[in-house]
Amino acid sequence: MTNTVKVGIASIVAIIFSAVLYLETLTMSRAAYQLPRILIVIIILLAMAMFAEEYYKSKKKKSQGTEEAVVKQPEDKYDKIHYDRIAVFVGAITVYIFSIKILGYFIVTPLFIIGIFRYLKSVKMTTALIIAVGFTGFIYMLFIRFLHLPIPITMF
Amino acid sequence: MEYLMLGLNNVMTFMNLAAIVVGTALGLFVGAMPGLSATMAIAILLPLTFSLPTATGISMLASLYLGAMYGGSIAAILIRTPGTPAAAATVLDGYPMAQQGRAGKALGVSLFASLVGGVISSIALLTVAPVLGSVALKFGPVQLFAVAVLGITIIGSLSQGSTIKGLLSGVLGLLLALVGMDPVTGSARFTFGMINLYSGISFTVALIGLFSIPQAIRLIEKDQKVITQVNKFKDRMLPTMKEIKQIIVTVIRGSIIGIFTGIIPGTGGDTACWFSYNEAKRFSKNKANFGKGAIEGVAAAESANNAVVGGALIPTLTLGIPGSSATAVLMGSLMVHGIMPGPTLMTEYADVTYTLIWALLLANVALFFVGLLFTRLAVNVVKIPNHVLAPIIVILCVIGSFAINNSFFEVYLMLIFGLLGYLMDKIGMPTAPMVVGLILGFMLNMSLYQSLLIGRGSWMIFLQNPISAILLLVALFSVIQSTPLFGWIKKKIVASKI
Amino acid sequence: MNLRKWMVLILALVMVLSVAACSPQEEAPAEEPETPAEEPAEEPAEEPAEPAEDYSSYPEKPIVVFQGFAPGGGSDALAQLTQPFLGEILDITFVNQYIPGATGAIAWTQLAKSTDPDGYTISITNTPMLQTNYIMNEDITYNITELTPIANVVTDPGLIVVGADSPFETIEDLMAAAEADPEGITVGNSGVGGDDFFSTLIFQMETGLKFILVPFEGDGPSWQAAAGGQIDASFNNLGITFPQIEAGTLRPLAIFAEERDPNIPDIPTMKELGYDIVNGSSRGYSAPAGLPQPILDELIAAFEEMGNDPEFLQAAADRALPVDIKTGDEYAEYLRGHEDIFGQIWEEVKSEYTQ
Repeated sequence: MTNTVKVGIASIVAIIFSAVLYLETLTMSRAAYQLPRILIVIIILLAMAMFAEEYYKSKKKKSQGTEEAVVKQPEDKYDKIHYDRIAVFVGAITVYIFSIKILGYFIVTPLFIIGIFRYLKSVKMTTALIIAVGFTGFIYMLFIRFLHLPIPITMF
Repeated sequence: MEYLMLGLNNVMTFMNLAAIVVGTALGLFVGAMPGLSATMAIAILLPLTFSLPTATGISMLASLYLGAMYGGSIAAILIRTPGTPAAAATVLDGYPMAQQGRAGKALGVSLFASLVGGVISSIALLTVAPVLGSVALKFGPVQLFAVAVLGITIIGSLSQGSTIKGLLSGVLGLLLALVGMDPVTGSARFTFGMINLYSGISFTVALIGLFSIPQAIRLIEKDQKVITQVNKFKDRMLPTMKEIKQIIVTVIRGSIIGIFTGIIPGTGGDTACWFSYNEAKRFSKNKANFGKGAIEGVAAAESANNAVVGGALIPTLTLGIPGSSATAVLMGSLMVHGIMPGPTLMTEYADVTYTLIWALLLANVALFFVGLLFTRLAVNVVKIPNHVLAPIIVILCVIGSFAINNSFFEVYLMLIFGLLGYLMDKIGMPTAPMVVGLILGFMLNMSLYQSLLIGRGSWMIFLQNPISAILLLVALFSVIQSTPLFGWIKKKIVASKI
Repeated sequence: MNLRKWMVLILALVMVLSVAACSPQEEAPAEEPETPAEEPAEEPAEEPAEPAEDYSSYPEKPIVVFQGFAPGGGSDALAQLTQPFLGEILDITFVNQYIPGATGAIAWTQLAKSTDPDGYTISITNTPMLQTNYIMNEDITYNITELTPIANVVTDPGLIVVGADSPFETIEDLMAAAEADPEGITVGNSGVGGDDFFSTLIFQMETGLKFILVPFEGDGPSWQAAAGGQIDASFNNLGITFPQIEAGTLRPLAIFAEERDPNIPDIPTMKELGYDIVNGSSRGYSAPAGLPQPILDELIAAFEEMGNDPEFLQAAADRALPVDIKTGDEYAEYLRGHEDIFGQIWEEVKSEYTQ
């Protein structure tokens, strides 16, 4: 995906988002809708300007021809972005958050840590276990024993 | 004068000194945890002080406040997660420094700046508090509106690369700040039927999401290099004389900004750090370094947020007006001890009040040593492999955002902001302006309508008041300064001189 | 995975489980299977306790107290004041759970809709927000019939204050100025829907005068604006402004109580002046609807005992919290009465705010 497309999508999302909020302001009283509407209009203008800026930038680049290829950095093995990994990670975070409500923080958290470590192959299993238990224990001591903050510990 | 000595005498007991050291250490630690702000730390640990004598308990809480202000920078520098909202601006230069292998230096600069900021503001509190206290009453809606407008001009200078993207990010932040119960009509705005949104989007939640989750994702998106380059540098923590010379003006400026932001009711460390950062950049000769690991950036933010502590205590102790949300809780703790906070604090309860002020001054010293010790340990965080650190950051974010309101809603919201932050990053849109927008949006809206009500609908009210007129002029100047027009004028002036 | 690793994993799980089991937070909101589901439907006041249930051992574990506001605020002040005394009387401890948001509505919705009336989860309830939340917002769906009011503890009477430099020396001055300049006098309140907002509306209705209402974010900014001369007067509360009145920063003009307050004996009540304006902000404790009568009786007895304890009264006076113990039916009646008043007033002014 080129940058222009990315920015284009972002502009469209921003405009749709503003449009939805604008519809919401229709039912508001005058004092309540004034400032939001001003901001919404500014957002729409800026979103369009952002796309225009990006579009001209890329056009300029193209007219300068092959320069882009030269600018491209040499491929480093460590610079490769693993999009599949990002997807799994974000998915795991989401599952983690939603399962806290069901299983409780102190069960899900070590599982999350171990799971991610195994997936990324970052550390050995024993180390993963030690970190998972140790860190969860630390959070427990800090939040529950010391600060007396209620942490969701739903039991079956 | 006799009160001054009395307070010094009072504070010099083993019990009080111990309370100061314990309070500072606790504050440092709690402040370093994302989501646990100084205000929360004070409120949570308040019951612990009930059994202590009044002066000791209050001293402990004030030290806690000071400690938390520095503690916030530790996580900001090491894991790009501001421990408290007041450390948000520290991220901008602190984290790049850590990436360059200068984490120890960043923490050292932060500690030095915090110390100077804290000491200057404590001295101001000790000496000129009654004079400065009256400033608090001068800040009503009209003046607060001008402060908010001035704050918004910061957005422009925070947008590296594309100004348009920075502005868009900032205005989105302003709009998101309006979600919730409208202060003027009492009706709900953009809540889509969810009552959890009635009190608005907590900017602490947004902050955690926007800064930390993208960071966690970035840590895992690439393969790990086997050896981290960080260890190669044996960086000295404390700034050298040369570096002190380089940052001292920034630190003093930041301290003054911090004191005044602290005095103004309704603004605290979360606003002060941005103001100070912005001014440091404005007066700097090498603006281009900001955001890429400039020690002035860290020094500006950290001196300001620690100076807020003394500043916020000024109206609290002279008038009974809390200068920040943390001092509001501190005031509540005075009541628990049977002291009615009000203008009589400096006279009727002078023994307690002056003990507190001396305690704050000494807490700076404690902070320096405790901070040095703690930081030496904390700096090892940079040795943790990226792939180990990432899930740990996520866990801290989840528990931190849950703790803010004890609700899952904030955790979901944090995740949404996290993904938003990651995507914004991908198109080169800065997230810092959005945070500034979120901090200032509500204040802008509230003070604008209050001012118009007070001014019978006339916008002239903002120019009739000298304070707001001056602040608005400065804001106008900032805007002009960031446009090409200013460069053109400057060139003309230089040319005419030749 | 080898055996050793499994052992460690199991050990970890056991540790986590035991940790979970001994936490007080987890116990209280949990389901109590003994309580029959249909019980909440019954009127607890009319029927004696069911013979099958034995409540004599109540309370035997910590009571969770919801607070609809952040730690360190007014609700917390009440909690910190009352709980040491109540804890001693009932011989248990309290666990405060802060659920801030939507001016308390999140905590109260949870209390009304998804909390068992077993006496182990109660909430601090603040008037007028308890009622105005759902009167003013259709998204907020709980109402006071879904609660069992236990006891009111403090009521902070409303009053009008002006800054020390204000030209208004008496309430008559202010009223004369408002008459001379209709809709020209600015008065602050603590926020739309708060007690001072309604005090102002009641004042306007009773006197026929008109002010410009300036909402602030809480009582503090409202009196500060009056003290700084940015607004002409602030409708506020006695307990909050008293230190400033004592120090001369603020001048009280009139109080919205039934009788004059001994702290400011020279200040007239609006009733004396012939206007029926009595309003203030109250804080007390409530449980979900359907609280078994024996438990309610036990709690009420505890609050009444506390109300007669001179040590408690002294502690309350130290914190400028005016004690106003109303228990059980009396508190329920008080909440209902105010619900009517606020509902009527809001009906009348609603159009100004929603159009």
